[in-house]
Amino acid sequence: MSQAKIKVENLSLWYGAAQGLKDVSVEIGEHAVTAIIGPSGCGKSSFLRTLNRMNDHVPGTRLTGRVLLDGEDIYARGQDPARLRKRVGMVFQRPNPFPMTIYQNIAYGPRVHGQRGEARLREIVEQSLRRAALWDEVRDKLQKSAFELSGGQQQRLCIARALAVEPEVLLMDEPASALDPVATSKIEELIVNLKESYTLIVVTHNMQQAGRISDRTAFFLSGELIEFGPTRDIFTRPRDRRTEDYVTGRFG
Amino acid sequence: MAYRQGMRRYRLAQIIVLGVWLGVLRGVAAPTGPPDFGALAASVVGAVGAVALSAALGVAAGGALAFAPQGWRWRMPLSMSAALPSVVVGAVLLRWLGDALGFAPGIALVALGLALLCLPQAVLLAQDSFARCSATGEAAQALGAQPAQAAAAVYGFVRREIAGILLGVAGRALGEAALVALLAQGLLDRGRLALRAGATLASALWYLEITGRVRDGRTFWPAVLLLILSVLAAGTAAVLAAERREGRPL
Repeated sequence: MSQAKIKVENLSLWYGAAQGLKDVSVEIGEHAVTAIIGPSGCGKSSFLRTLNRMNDHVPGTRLTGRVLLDGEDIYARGQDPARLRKRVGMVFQRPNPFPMTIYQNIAYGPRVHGQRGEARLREIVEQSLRRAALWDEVRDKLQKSAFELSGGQQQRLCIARALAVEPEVLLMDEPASALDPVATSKIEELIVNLKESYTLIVVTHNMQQAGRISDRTAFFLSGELIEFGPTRDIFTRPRDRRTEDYVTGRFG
Repeated sequence: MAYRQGMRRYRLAQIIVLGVWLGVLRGVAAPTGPPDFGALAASVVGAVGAVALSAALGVAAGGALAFAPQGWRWRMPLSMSAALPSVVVGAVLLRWLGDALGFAPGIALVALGLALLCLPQAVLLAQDSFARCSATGEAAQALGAQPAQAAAAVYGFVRREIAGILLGVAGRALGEAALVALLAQGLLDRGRLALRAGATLASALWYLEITGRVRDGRTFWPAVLLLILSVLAAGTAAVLAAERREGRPL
């Protein structure tokens, strides 16, 4: 495995009285795609959201354990969640562009972080759209509303928007589940290309997709991390019976 | 893309068509002498304003709610009440329409009921809107925005999206309930019922078909046809009502 970018140590999470994650420990490699799989309600998204502290917004959330990003505990006292989220970007299940132009959508993040020079912003916008493989499709309509794009293009716009703040890690919560097969294949291709520059963690319900895009896979069940290893091993030689049952479709 | 453009055009067409339609109905139906075009124009302007007011009230309520904290126990009841202004104003407009046309009280009541029946749809749409508001705020925070900056992004969403959605609800409440009321009134009248009710029914079916087409973003021009047919339907019903009030046999 490549060098660990994120180390999770004995992480447990509660929403009020309900426990969402149970003593999860895992190391996530740099410049690799890690897939998180498991049935609905198993804690995949909860786990993902602990990595950029998005769960902080959910009332009644309580957490124990540590999450280290490059060795630094992101939950340590004095850590600024806004600064953390600049380093750990996130793309959601449904495309959620802002009600702004395509250009403004991409420029939003850099502006929030203090980038003011218009020439530099234009550069960032073009670079981000190129990285998200969207530039050629939108270069002539940057001033048009983002809502005029198709669903697949909107999702790539959201990826470009996340890339514009130059994160080191990109979290993706079922990024293709609301898209058609053509748009899905473009997103998958993009994910594979992005791992050269970023560390990607992708929650997916689609096991074929996990097999196609990821280097390593984590299987969650009822808030527990059951198995974590190279994707090929998880799908062909799972060590745990529950993993085998899930990947062979016996449940879930 | 086409869908979203279609939605915007649909909403715009809806506010204009409903306003003009209501205005023409009131302006044509009320007087018994030669048409008073000044009163007609005033009626049209008033009705367009009233429909726009209905949408604006909905937007204001939706906007206030968008800033309610997640997980707050009153969020759900408030989101339901956010849809109410549109429907209530729609219901008042229908009552006004019923008076102008001399509808039987029972029919006016049915129209009001139909307008209120749109409430569940309004609630669903409002819920969806608020979920999308939350998603917008969440996306902004995921980019490292501070809460105030995220709230500004949400406000932009509220302004542009919820306005259209609530306007759509108001439009549906008004349009469908008014149509059914017109048809019911036509069916209660006697004489040349088949001819006039048939014309109204055909217009009504066109109205539903065409609003569907515009909503799906397939084309904008049917909206123009919709306007013409709606006015024809309204005119037919208005003549029916006026003749009935004058006691003339149909």
